[in-house]
Amino acid sequence: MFDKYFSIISDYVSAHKRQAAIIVISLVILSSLGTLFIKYDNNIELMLPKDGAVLLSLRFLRQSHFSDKAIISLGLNSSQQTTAELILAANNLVGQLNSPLILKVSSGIAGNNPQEQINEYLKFAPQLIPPDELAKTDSQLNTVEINKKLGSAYNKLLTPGGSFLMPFIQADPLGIKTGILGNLNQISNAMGYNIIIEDGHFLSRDKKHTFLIVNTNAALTDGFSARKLVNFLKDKLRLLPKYIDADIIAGHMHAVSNEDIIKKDIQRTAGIAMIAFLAVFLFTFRDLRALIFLIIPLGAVVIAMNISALVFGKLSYFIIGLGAVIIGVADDYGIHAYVAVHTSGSKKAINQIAKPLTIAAATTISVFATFFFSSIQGYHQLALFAISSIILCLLFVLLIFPHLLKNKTTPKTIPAQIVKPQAIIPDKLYIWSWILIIIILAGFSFKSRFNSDISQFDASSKDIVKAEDEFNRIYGRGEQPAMLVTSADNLDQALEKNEKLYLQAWPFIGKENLASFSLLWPSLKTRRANALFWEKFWRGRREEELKLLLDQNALQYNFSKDAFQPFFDNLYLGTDPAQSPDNLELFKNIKERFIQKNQVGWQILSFFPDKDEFTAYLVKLSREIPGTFVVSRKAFSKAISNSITREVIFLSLLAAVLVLALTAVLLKNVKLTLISLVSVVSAIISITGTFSIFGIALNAAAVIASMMVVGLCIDYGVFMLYSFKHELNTGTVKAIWVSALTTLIGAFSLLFARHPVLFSVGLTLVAGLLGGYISSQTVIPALYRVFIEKKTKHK
Amino acid sequence: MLKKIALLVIFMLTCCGVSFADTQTLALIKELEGKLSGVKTLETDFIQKKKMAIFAKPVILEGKVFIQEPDLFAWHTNKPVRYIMVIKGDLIKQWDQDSRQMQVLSLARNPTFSVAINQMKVWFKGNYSSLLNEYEIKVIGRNPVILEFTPKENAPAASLINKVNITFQNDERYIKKIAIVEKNQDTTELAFTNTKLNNPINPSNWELK
Repeated sequence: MFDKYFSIISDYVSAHKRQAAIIVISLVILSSLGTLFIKYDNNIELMLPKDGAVLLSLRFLRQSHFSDKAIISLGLNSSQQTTAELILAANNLVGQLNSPLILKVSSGIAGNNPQEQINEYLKFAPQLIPPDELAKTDSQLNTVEINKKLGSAYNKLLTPGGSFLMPFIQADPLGIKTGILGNLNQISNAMGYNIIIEDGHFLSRDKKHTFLIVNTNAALTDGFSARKLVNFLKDKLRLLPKYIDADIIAGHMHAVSNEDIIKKDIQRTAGIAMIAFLAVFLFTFRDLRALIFLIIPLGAVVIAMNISALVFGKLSYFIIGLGAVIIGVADDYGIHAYVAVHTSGSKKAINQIAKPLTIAAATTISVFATFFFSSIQGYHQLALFAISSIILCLLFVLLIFPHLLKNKTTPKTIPAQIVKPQAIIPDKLYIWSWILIIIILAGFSFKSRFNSDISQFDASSKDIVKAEDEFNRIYGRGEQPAMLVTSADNLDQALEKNEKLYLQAWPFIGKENLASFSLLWPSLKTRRANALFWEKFWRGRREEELKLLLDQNALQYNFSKDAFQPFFDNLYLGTDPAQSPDNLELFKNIKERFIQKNQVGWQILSFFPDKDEFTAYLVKLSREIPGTFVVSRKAFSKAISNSITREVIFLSLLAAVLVLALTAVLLKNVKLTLISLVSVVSAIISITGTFSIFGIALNAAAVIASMMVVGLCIDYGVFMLYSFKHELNTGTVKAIWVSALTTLIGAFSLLFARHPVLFSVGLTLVAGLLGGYISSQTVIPALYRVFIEKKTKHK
Repeated sequence: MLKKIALLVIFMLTCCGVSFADTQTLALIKELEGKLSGVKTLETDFIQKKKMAIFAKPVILEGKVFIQEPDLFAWHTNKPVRYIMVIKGDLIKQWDQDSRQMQVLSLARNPTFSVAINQMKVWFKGNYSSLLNEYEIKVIGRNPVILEFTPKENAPAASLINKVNITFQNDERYIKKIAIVEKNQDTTELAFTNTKLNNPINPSNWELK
């Protein structure tokens, strides 16, 4: 049936070959022009699964304000210059950072007197101190306890930092607000940086470094804006005095660097692959017309790029980076056709190999088609790009290519290959050697690791990473904390939910480990209740009682009569729950880190150490409270890992069923089908063994590339067995050799890529294809001879 | 016209005068810093007189200060209460006779205390050019040298300090007296006696008893 329909289509094209040629040439020219207008994307999100937890974290990170900031780190590189000169340079730079891309530049905390700011914040104590805490004060309202407090206050005032403590002691002789100060300290430490504020600027402890925070509207995912921002900042940094070193710390630097690296990789790998393809074709076939094998897949890939761009809008650089591999895969059909024609000396050989070529293409396509069932959008792009390329290439080879040979000088006939080469080495030696190698490699494979951390796909230049490490070292920034996110329609609902979560979480996590905004500013309901209790507590007897006790005992500690008047003056100042410390710079800065507003509503973040036990507990807790979730780097990695594992199992099973089914259809024999799997098994074991031997962890990109390997290697086995079975004289061995070589060249070129995704794919393909190819040329013929041929002869 | 030229000349002379005085002050600060930078260890007795509105009567403290470069600093008070504070790098250890307990603090985790301690270290160690951004500095005495530091209007110190006077010893190798006038008119005078420079310091002075 296949032959019948193929003949009809082939004859039709043959009758309209001029029109067909014009259509193909026009398509290729138009598509080449079209590539100039394609938009490219280097967003790693495309390569991540859209699993629930992963999606939630990604959406949060996209909507949060973390990605709209860049930090400019400035440092003195000369001991001759002073902090004053550093601050002056920072101020001058702030003045120059005028661009539509820059919304705000902060160099420190305005208002800048932390002591005054803290004192102002402490005036809100009536709203902040819970009734049970305040009730403890009752036990202090007696002579013994007051004397203890006064003695302690006196001693503190005589210490070197006494003058700084004085306003706090005057405003709080009983130390009622100590808990609030502790909370403030804990929250400030959760800011993650060890900085001092001097002259209103953020400074490192050694005062030799400062930094500016730049708020930008340049989105990380918008490569053009990110580059514009980075270039603008770099231009301005060049104007700094020579004694200032400057670095930009921003996600935008990673985006730009990754794009540059992947672009260079594409140029480098494509260049290497093209030169190698040309060399192989010309050296192997010694016929200039063999260049058509390069032009056909190239044309197919160019058209496929346009098709993919039309469907997806933007094309991922990672997918285009695999272009050389796709060319290496797609050119196989042309090679088989060319070798068949030249080996047999007749164009009719195309008809003989049309069916196995189509089935081979179908098996490869079926592997790529399974990617459409993946939740990873990047794989959809890869699938469409690869499938379009393969189909177009196959059509060109089967329908257009034969006509190119017409009226041409018959090329020098290549001696026909022996269909089933006689083994020089005994078949059983091949088989046992293969089993031994597979066992050894399988032994190594057990030691293989899987790395699910997405940061491994960050190919940013070493300078960027070094600058970040240095920044973290200078400002004492440790491991990034995980976040517990509470969201609600309005701020007070969010505050209420956040408070509830904190009260439930801290007994397990520990107060010292959970930095919650509720420590600094509880919900309106709680503040109202606190303030009400405060009023009731002090008004009347207790206020007078304390005044009397202080009057009676203060003098023996040398305290003046009005020493503690500030406490009584401020006693009821912060009791109105409608008032908030929003005008305090210190409070505003902290609030900005903990509270975010987005299009949907409000989100409050709490920070905790990114430890498995904390994350697991909070994930469980957050499931019970709607609108809350955990964002953790480790949990994110785990969610990706779990999701990818599920994807890979599903896709592998799907691909295995499809490949087996198609192979069985072509070979129509169970034994032959099982033998054809030898190349697949060899390829998979080679991949896992190679990664393990080199100490490289497998990753998502490698797993997906492995599936491509399966699709390609099954072809090698199928071609060999098909030609054995049908005793074809179509130069199958040579065709497989050249097509495997070209695919390997495409894959090998990726080993020169600096981007880890492309390198992983390259290593997987090289290891897998080598294993699959070698076994198809040695073990499969041996197995055929031992299990099929001999038994047939016996019969 | 003549009046205008006269005014211009006066203006220019005034400007030059200011500029000349500033340069001289800077040169003097650099010179003093140079001398103080030669101090690798310091051991000195002190008497501190504090007049604070919070206290009914002035308080007089007596004790010792120890400094050893690069990062050791100790403050021992003997009267009226025994108190010891030792700073090493980021860590502060304190002990007082009242609690008889040692308290360890990290400067990084106590920003307010850190500001106080850093200010104190600057006055004691004499790296005054780092204060140029925050303070106006005037030379108000030559023999002995007395420097007056007045916080600039927008400097954080302006909300706390009115001025700080530093009086140097006659040989200018170290400080003789520090006088601080705070915004609320509280004053602190710290006089140093029996100052020993670059002598080995007994390691026990860095320990808390």
